[in-house]
Amino acid sequence: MRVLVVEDQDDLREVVAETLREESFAVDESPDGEEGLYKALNWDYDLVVLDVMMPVLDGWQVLQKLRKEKQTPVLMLTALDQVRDKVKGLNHGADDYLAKPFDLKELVARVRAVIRRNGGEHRPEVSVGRVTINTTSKTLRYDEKEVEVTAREYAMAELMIQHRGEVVSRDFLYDHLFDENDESMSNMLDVYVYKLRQKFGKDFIKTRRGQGYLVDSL
Amino acid sequence: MKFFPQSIRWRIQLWYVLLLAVIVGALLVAFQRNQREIKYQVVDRELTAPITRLLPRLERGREGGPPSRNRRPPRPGPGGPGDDFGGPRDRSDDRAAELEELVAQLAEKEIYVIHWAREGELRFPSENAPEDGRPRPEKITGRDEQISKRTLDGYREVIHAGPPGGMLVVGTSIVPLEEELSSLSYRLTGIGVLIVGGGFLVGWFLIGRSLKPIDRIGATAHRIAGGDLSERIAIGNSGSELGQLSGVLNETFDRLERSFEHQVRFTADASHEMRTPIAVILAKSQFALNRERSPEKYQECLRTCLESAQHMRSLTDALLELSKADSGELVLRTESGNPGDLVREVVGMMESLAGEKAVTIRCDLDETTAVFDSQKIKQALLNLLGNAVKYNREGGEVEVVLKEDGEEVVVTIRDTGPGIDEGSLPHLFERFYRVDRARKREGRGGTGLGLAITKAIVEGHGGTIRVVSELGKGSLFEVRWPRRN
Repeated sequence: MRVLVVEDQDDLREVVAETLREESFAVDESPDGEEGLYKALNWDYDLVVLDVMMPVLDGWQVLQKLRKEKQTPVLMLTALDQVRDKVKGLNHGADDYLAKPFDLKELVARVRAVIRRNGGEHRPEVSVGRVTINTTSKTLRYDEKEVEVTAREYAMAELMIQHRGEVVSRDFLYDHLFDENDESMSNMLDVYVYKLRQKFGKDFIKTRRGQGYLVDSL
Repeated sequence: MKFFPQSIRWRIQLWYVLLLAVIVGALLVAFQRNQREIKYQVVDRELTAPITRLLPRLERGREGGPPSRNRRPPRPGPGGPGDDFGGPRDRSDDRAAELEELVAQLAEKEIYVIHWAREGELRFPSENAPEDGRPRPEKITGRDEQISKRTLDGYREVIHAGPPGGMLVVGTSIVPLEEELSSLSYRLTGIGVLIVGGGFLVGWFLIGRSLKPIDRIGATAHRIAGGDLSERIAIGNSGSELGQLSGVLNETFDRLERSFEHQVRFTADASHEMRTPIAVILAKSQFALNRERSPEKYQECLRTCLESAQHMRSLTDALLELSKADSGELVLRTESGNPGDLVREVVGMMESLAGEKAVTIRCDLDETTAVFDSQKIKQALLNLLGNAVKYNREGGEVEVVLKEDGEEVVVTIRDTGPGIDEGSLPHLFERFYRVDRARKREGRGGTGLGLAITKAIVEGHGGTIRVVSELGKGSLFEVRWPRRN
């Protein structure tokens, strides 16, 4: 899951980004609306956390311009918590709205909820074959037994399960698993696929040569 | 006991009707009096007229005795005197006949004649005279006129003293006259009531009409009190007093609404400015507590929290200062001093910041003395000079000039920054106004209140602050305050 955080207040942006990273999201950061819009238009983020009061382009303008081209889920983050502003945000195509000062736990929960809704998944727990994922506790179970996974492994499993039944390209995986500061080589993907197969059986992730990977929907 | 109603409408109405009733009443009473007088004059003339014709006949009759007696007793009236006189019959007969005819003529007009002889002896009451003996009037003396008038028991009488020694009374009943007058009184009363009633209605209508704007004003004020500050009084006739009042009230409401909006925006802005540091502290501390961290991480989190708290402190300090200025509690400890020393001190404090941006500060300071609160003026100048350095271009210049201008001290600070666009200039000294929301804030330093506080300080000194700026050419701030209080 790759998330973009657009916020002009450095401390706040850093702590939000860091928290989301700890929750195994790949996180990009933007200190102003213009850069944020550029990134949002050029990468397929799973979610954009967007501050309203920002230099250059404010949150409303970013949202408006983004919505003309993309339906990337957006969570608005602002100090204005009047109902009017919330309604405005939601009417402009924001998917959720959180007023400052906010609780980090609430932010994370809402980020998850928005991503889940937009992935067409409303339940926090999904089973695929013998594998069960819980996006709230961020755990994976194999035959109802919890399996230890690293954050990256979990993120990859979550992404694959979210797109179960589809062939997922390596580029897509790469884009959604690593943020812009990652220097990881693309063959890191192979390592994670290998590790996941080791833990959840060879058939958990199938390879479609030349196209990508597939997790069966059943 | 509320005898007098509280409603203005009723008061005006009451006074108005009262006044109308008094005037109409007085007029009608005067008219009635006048009518009565005229009628009595007519009657009196009617009564006086026959006297001249009666007198000669009575005089003659007196010489030869009353003629009526000789012929026949005019009636079985009170004590008709016998005819025991002799005399020149033909002449007195003629006269008696004439007299009788005259009396008969007068009787037709309801006029009676009574004649007393010299010693008070009643000699001649005409037939239609009142039954009861009319008292002999007092003798009229000391008057040129021998005629007097009296009204007695419903009769009007003209009294003529004479023939010599005697007394002639010509009278008539005034009952019909009085009846006529009293019916006139009734009619006049009726007319009076109608006029006053009509006046009441017209007054009610007029007062109602002219008081209607008050109802409107009241209703509008009520709605405004209810919270709808955008309400205004619809001014019908702007020329009338109430129209003018409405205009004044509307202006007041305008100002009220503006200051209220200002207040609302200020509060919203203040809370917004507060939210960001609170959000940082909240998020940072939550982040730190989420799991075990390295000591460096804890330190960093604590440092961020500290910085945010410091920012909040400067914000609350600034807010407190402004609220003091607003409520007039800004206490200035003024003393006489050299403002040049103060400017040099401020420039010294700014030097390191200027050095970082390679900004040169040039000073041109006149030696002068002025009365000022050095602490506050220092704060104001620090704000201005700080802005001039912070928003300057790399390698730019700041020029600080201090000079005397008559009774005023003038400090101008000119920078070579980007300048301020025309649209922003009027709002520059507003609280939380930022010229360019796009401009990234320099760290956490700015509260957005600096210029507002600067303005409050300068105005607290009885001075003024103004700004001249052009995009691309830099800005010039000028502060001036009186050298003496």
